[in-house]
Amino acid sequence: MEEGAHLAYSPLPALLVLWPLVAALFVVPLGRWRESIRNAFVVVATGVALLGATALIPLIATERRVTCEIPGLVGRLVFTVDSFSMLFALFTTFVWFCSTLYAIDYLKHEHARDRYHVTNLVVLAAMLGVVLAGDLITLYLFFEALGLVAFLFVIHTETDDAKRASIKYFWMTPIGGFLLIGGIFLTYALGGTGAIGPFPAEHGAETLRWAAFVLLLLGFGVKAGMLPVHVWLPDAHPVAPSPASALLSGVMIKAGAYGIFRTVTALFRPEVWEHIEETLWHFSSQIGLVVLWAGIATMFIGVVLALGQHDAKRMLAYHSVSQMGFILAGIGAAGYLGAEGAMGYAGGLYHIVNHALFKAALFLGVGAVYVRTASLDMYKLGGLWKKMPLTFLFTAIAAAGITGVPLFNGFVSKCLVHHAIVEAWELHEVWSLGVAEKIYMITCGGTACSFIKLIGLVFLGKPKAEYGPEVRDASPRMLGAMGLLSVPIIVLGWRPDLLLKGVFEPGLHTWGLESEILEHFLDVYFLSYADLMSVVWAFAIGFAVFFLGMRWGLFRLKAPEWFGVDHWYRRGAIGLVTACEAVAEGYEALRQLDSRGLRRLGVAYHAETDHADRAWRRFTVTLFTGATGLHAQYVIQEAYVALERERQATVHYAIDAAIRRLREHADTDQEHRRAMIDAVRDISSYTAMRLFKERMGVLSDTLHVSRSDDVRYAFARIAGELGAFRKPVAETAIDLARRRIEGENVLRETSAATNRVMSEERFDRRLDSAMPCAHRTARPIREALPSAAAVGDLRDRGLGTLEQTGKWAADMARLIVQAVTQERVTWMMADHVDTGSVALTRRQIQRYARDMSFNVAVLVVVLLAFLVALAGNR
Amino acid sequence: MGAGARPPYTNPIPQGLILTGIVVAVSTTALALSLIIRIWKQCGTIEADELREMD
Amino acid sequence: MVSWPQWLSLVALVPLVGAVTTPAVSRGRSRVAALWALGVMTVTSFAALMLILRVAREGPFSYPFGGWKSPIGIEFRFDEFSASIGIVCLVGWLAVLYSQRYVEHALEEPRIPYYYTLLLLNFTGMIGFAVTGDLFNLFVFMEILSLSSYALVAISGERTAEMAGFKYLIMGAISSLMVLFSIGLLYASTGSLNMADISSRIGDGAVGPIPLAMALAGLTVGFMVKAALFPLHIWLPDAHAIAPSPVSAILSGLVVKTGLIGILRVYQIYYGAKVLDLSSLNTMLVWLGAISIVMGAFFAIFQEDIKMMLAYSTISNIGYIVMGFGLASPYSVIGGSVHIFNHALIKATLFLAAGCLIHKTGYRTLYDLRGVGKAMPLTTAALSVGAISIVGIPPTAGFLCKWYIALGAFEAGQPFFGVALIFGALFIFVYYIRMVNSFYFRQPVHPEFLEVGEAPASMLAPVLILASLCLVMGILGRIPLSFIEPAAHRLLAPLGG
Repeated sequence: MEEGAHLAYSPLPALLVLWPLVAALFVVPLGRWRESIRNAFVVVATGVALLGATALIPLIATERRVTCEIPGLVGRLVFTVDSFSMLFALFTTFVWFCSTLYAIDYLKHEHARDRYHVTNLVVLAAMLGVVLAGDLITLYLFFEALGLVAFLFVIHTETDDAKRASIKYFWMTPIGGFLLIGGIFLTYALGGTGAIGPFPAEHGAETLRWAAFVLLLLGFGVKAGMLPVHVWLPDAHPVAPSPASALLSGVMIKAGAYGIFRTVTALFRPEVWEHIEETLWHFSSQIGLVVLWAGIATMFIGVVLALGQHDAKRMLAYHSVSQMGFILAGIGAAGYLGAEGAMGYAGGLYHIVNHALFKAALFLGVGAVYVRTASLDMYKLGGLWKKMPLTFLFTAIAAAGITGVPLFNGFVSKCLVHHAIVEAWELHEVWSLGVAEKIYMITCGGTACSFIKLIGLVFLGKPKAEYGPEVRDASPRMLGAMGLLSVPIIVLGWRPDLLLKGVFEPGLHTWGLESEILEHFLDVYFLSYADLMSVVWAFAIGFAVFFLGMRWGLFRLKAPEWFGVDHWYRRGAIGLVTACEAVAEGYEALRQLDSRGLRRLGVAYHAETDHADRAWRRFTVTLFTGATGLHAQYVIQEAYVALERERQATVHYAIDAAIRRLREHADTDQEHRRAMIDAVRDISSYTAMRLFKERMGVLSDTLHVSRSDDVRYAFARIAGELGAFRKPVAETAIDLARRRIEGENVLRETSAATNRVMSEERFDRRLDSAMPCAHRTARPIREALPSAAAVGDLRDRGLGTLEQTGKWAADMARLIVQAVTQERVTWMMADHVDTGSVALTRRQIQRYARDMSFNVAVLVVVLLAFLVALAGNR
Repeated sequence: MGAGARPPYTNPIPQGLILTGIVVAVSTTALALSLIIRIWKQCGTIEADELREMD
Repeated sequence: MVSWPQWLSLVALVPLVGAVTTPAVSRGRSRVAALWALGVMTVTSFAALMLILRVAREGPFSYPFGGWKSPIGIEFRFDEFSASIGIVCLVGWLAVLYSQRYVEHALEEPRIPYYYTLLLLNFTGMIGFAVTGDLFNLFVFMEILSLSSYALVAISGERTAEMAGFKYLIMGAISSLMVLFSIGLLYASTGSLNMADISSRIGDGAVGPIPLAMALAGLTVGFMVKAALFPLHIWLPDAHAIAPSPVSAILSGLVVKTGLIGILRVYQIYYGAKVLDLSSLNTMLVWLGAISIVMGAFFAIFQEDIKMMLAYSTISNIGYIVMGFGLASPYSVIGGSVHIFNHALIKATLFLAAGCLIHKTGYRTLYDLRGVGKAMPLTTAALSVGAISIVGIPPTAGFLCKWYIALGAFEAGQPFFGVALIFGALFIFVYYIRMVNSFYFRQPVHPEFLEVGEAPASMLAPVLILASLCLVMGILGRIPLSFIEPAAHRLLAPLGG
């Protein structure tokens, strides 16, 4: 494309976009001050925008393309206007003007009027920004802004329906935006510069081209209500206030259509002056075919769904989907035909203009009905033509437009699209396009049927309810707005050459395409017999379906839920969420797993150390006590404590007895008393110690041959009896003490007295008799022991020596250890240390550090990876 | 420290660095210990597993 | 009249002196402490503004302490990346203003002066980190910053806060150690601590590659921990979600960025090194960034706690910035650098607004906060603006940076990462739409919300200022981009970019 050759500079496009934004700033202050002034102001503001757009006409007529640039804002905003952009700007501002005029009265029963008008102006700016944009970024910026701000239209009534619809809208719009910007990225990857013009020839792989195209198509298609991504549209358009519905359905979805139009006919076409070579058109004609079929599918499904609606606005919304199908089919045909696509261009764009006009008029008309009757259900309305004659008239004109009645605008564009499809069919003899043509005709019939239904049920027929005086014609301003819209519907029906020659021919020339075929159309086909007959056919189908449907209730059939794309989206979304959650859970499980693994490792380590610890402790205890079994050791531990207590009790008893004796003989002096008590303590301690050792010895010997439980039981039974020996010990001790004080050596007597006590006690026998079945348990053990002969045999073979040496060594070791650490036996027995101790705290800090160590391990791994990466690259 | 410095003199820069490093490390440790003590006071444990269960 | 370069020392010294004197000046009166901190931040902001104006006019300049010339003495150096102190001062000032009412509820009275001390120390660390030209000073300032951050996370004295602070401390201490060792290694092998000097000595090729590579790895990984890049992000969500909201805003908006500025400084040191090829490092950063984007956004989807969600989104935004650096094309480096600035704005908006909600309602999960949009329309509007910005929907601040990073991906011939970027944005979009949905479109679970009303003006004003800045920076996004451009080109010049 020759940059600059046709590019003249003019600030008008930028001003056109900025003006509504500036005007929007004044809406709220004016609204606070006086509503009527604000109303006048917004109408004037849109009127000025309309005038500005009109001022583009002479400019474009002389300059072909104008451009301007705002450098500072959001990177760089570029606006470029050619004939097609101008056309979009024109009908946009025109419909906007009518809708704003209408909204003033309509909104009287709505709230938040200031918000509506601000939204109205900002959305106008965004819409103009989209259609006047000079590069893809500018286009994207305004496109996204359009989607986001128009959200306020959808949510405006704040009913539950509106909230539900707006959530869906809010999901779809930015997702479309993401797809779009993805597509724009890829155009950069294809060597594009962001300008809305062809890429450098043959740059980038075919796959990349397709990917870019599909992303762009879907991104724009979301806004345009193209088939698989249309689901938000039938929900969102009807819930808005009627003038906003008119804008949403009439104008804003054209932003998407504009995008697709530019994608197919500007971005992916070959350079403007290279169109001589057929092969270069290959890719754009393929994507044209895709768009064509998307259009055919959209129009057919849209009309089928529209037939099942009873809410008038919802039906109109479905028709917007369907009519977008016509537009896409036209654009697709233009792309498919490549250099000869003038008919497609004309059809698609003509229908864009027409649809904006009549769909806006229809929404306004239905809105007027709603204002008066507060109902939108077609089956509950009727006979309104008498009560609202002018509303009926304008609605009927719009319906005539949309159904393609000759001499109304829809007729021209539908014929143009039809011719384009037929031309495409005949050009390459693709049979499938023949099918497309048939579907096209059926869809026209369906459209006719729908509007027969709308007009027939709402305005004609008998009133289904009694209407009071409040049901009268709409207010003058509303009627004025509808009337204004009706004018071009008729004019464009009578004089198609206005657009075809005035706009499309120069536009096509700018882009290097021929336009003779349009002349041909005007001369030959326009209002020809064949075209008229096709309309007759369409109406015939329409009437037939209408009467059959009304008779058999076909319009009330509900498609099963799985039939709707919406259903599958929801399923897909739920599936996606489930999958996401599964991944998150998996990750969590993995993290758990490794922390659990670490913990298990720690537990195993501790178990092992505990095990070793215990083995060591048992080993030492075995050394101390000679008892091998764990239970036996416990018994010894208990007995040790009990006997030790008994020992101390014995000594105390002896000392107490001595003191008592000394008190009785009060004559003794202090020094004598102290010497006496010391002597008693010495002697009784000796005896008690001997007793203690004897008893412990007996216990451990018994443990060798009996079950430890039996020993424990027996010891418990006899432990109480031991107290009986305190008294004899005490008496002997006092007796001997007195003799020791007198200077006698009582060592031998002490020993003898001790032996006497021991023989009196016979601890071993007591223990033996206390054991319930000692002989029974003792015998098998004795039998299991090697007999004397066997031991002798072993000794002969030399093994016994080893055994004996081992036993001796163990005994010696035991004695040594015992001698050194006797008091600590109990301490060694303790299974665990006190929980509050410092040692535990330290261990716990260590374990917390272990938990952190995973993080640190990750850190180290990353560090190593970096090192490897750096080293590997040298 | 220029290249002309003779062996008996030590380079003061690394010493300064190490000292600063020690100061930093000490303050970090102090903060860490005070946090540990506060956690111990509030939770009665500093066992990571138990702390995790408390959340 | 103070001559120009002395502003440079003032900008770090003023908050330091202010921090130390806060308890003495306030003597336990929290309002005095707040006013004092605000005054200190005002002076600092003024100094920062002067410096930024100068760097915009004349390019980088430096100030040697005590008149000792650069390789010997300690030097402060101010370049375009140092201009990030502007956003530190801006967000810091607003956060101090915001704190005044917020901490009344959140903290015990005697702790409040110390809170301001820590806050000012934190700013000292960040400002010093950005302006110092000396590698060891860099470490010292980083430690001032880190220590005050640990303490700020734990300051509320709640059990979870202390545990989060401890976790942060362990990771932070290890990363500091890595940085310290690497600095030591660099000093040992080059004999200098001045960054420009080290850079030129490395450029001479006199130093062997092995110590250089080890130091590079240590510095990068150390700073990555501070920046919470993907595999090292574990400490971030707890710490940022549990800290008091103004602290969260500072941590998420500013403190993690010091890690990124650290990485930039590392690049500045190493870009002349002929013995090392930085492209492998770049590849690694790009991948880690891409994984960060997707993982951070992914986990944010499942968070119920609004601050937890924001904390995870920080991880993914750090991913964007790191990816921008790693792509090493002019566009992406510019985009990444400016996103440091813009993300600070956006995340501060979000955290402060979330703080308003928590402050007024006492709830913090999306479920509990349902329908809060009616009761606090301004706060939730600010939150929505922040949300839209962070998704990167035009015309808000987040868009241009992401766009530049994506363009950089194409420029570098790696379109895959551009796609990853969009994919991440899609995830981010999903969780912010969850938030907006629950605030505006759900029936309130707690009907008493309808009476709570907006937060006090000193809290609301910072939120609104930041939210409007999000919009303004989107519309005038060109200015920071062109400001940072010369620095990015200087950085990439040796790569032939």
